[in-house]
Amino acid sequence: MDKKSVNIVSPIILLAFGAMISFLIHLTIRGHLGLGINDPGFLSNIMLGFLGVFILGVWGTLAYVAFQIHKICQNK
Amino acid sequence: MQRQVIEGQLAAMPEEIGGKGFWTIFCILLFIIGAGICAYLYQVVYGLTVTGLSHTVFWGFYIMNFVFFIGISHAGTLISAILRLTGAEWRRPVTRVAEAITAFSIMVAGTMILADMGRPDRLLNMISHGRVQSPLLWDLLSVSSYLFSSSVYLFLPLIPDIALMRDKLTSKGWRWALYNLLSLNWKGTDVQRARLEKAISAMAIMIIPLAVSVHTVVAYVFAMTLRPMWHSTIMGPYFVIGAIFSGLAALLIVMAIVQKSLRLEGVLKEIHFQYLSNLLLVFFGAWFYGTICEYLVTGYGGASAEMRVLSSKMLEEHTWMFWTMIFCMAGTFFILTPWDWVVKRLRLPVATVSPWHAFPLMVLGWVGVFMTISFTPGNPLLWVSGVAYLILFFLILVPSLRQSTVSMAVSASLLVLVGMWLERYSIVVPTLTRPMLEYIGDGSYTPTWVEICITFAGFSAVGLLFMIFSKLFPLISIWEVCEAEEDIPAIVAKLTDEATLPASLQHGSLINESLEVKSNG
Repeated sequence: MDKKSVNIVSPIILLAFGAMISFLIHLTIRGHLGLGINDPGFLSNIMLGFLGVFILGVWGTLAYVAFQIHKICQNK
Repeated sequence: MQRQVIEGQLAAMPEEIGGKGFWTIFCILLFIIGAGICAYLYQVVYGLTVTGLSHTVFWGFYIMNFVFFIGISHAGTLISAILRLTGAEWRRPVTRVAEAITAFSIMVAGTMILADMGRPDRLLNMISHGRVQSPLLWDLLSVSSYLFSSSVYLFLPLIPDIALMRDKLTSKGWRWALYNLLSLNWKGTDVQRARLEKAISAMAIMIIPLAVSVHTVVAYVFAMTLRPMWHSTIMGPYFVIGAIFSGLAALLIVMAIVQKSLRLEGVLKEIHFQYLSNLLLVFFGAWFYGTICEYLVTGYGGASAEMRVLSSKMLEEHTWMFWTMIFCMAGTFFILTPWDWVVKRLRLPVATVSPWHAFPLMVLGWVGVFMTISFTPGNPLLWVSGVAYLILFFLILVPSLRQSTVSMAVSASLLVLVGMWLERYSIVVPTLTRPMLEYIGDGSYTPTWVEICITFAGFSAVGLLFMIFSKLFPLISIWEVCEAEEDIPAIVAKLTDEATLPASLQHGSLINESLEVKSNG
C-alpha cells in the first residue's frame, strides 16, 4: 500500500504555481511592449509590481506547502 | 480510551449519514440544479436578452450572487485561520464546517461570473488580453488564487482524518481506494505531524491577507468606476466587514443543521453558538458603522447624481429592498443583544429580565416601520416586510425561543443572510438605474425566470456540494478535537507546578475555570 501511495496534491499545486508565474511573465511582457495597455506608465508599473508581489507571495506559499506535502508523503 | 471512543464515533459519521430525509433533500437539490443548467443553456443559445439585464443595467442577480457567495466564503478564513493563529481552543469542532463552506461557496461564486458573461468563451479574453490596470483582472487573479488556496486549506487538516477513516474500513471498496489515495501515506509519525503543522500554519498566515484582498478587489470592481455611490473609499473595508458578517451567519446555520441532524450536541455545544453569536454581534456593529458612514456622507454631500441614487433606494422603486434590509438588521440586533447582561451592567432596578422589558424598544421599532411605509404607501412589498418585522418582534417574546442559544443564533443568522443578500441588491442595481448622463434616462431591472432559476441553482449547488462532502468526510476535525482532549491533563499539571502562583490560584478557581473552558470548548 505504501509503495502505491501517490502524491497527487503537490504536482497540482506546482503546476498551478507555474501557470500563475507564466501569466505574470505574460502580463509583464505585454506591459513592457505596450500591447493592449493604453497607459504603459506609472500606474501600469505600480499595478504590475503589486500583482507580482501578490502572485509570488500567495503562490510561493503554496509552493512551500506543496514541498511539505511531498515530504509528508515520503514520511521524512 | 476516551480518544478511541471519540475517533470511532466521529469516523463512522459519513457512513451513518444517508437516511430518507438526506436523499430526499439531495434529489430536490439535484432537480433545482438541473433546472438551473437548463436555464443557463437556454441563455447560452439565445443570449443575455433572455435576462432582465440591459445596456443601462448591465449587472443584476448574477453579480449580486457573486458578491454574496464570495462574502459567505469568508467564514472559513475568520473561524479557521484567525482563530487557529490566535490559539482559540474552542474553534476545533467548527473549523471543518467553516473551511468546507468557504471552498464550496467560492466555487459557486465563479459559476455566477460565467453566467453573467453570457458567452463563457469570453473568459479566455481575460487571460490573453487582460489589462493590468483593470480591476477585473485583479479579481480574476485573487478569486482564482483564493479558490485554489481554500481547497488546499480544506484538504490539509483532512489528511489525518482520511487516514483514520481508511484504517477503520473493514473492506477494500471504492471508499478505501479514495481514502488511500488522499491520505498521502499518512502514518501519524512525529515528522509528518510537524510537516503538517508547518503547512497549515503557512496557509493560515497567507490566507488571511488573501481573503481580505479578494473582497477588497471585488469592491474595487465597483469603487474604481466613477459612478454615484460606488466611487467611495469605504467600499473595500465595507465589503470585507459585510463578507465576514454573512460568512459567520452562514456558518451558524450550517452548524445548527449539522448538530441537529447528526445529533452532535456533545461536540458542537451551546458555547460554540454563543461565541459565534457574540462575534456576529461585533460584526453587526462594524457593518452598522460602515452603513452609517456610507449613507450619511452621501446624504450630507448632496451631489445631484448621488442624491438620485440615494432617493431611488430610500423612497422610490428600490425602497422595499433597502428597508427590508434595514428591518432584517434591526431584528438581528434585537435578537443578538444580551439583554440580561445589559440590565446587569447598567444596574437597572429589575430583578429578572423579561422579554417584555424590551417592549418600549419594540414600539419604537414599529413607529419606525410605519413612518417608513408612510413615505411610499403604494408599495405593497414594503408592507409585507413591515408586517414580517412586527411578527419577528412577537416571536422574540416567546420564552422558549429566547432560552435556546441555538434557535436565537439561527434566527439572527437567517435575518443576516436575507439582509446581506438584499444589501448586495441595494449596492449593485440602484446605481445602474440612475446613469451619470441624465439624458440616457433611468434604467429599470426586473429579473427573469432564467436568472431566478440560476440563482436557486447556485444556492442548491452549495448545499449539494456540502452534502456530498459530508457523505465522504467527517464534518468535525477528529484529530484536532482529540488533541484538545489530550491537552487537559497537561494544562492542569502545568498550573499545579507553578510554584510562583499564589496558593489560591494553584488549587482554586483558575484550574477549575480552565478545565471548564476546555471541556466546554
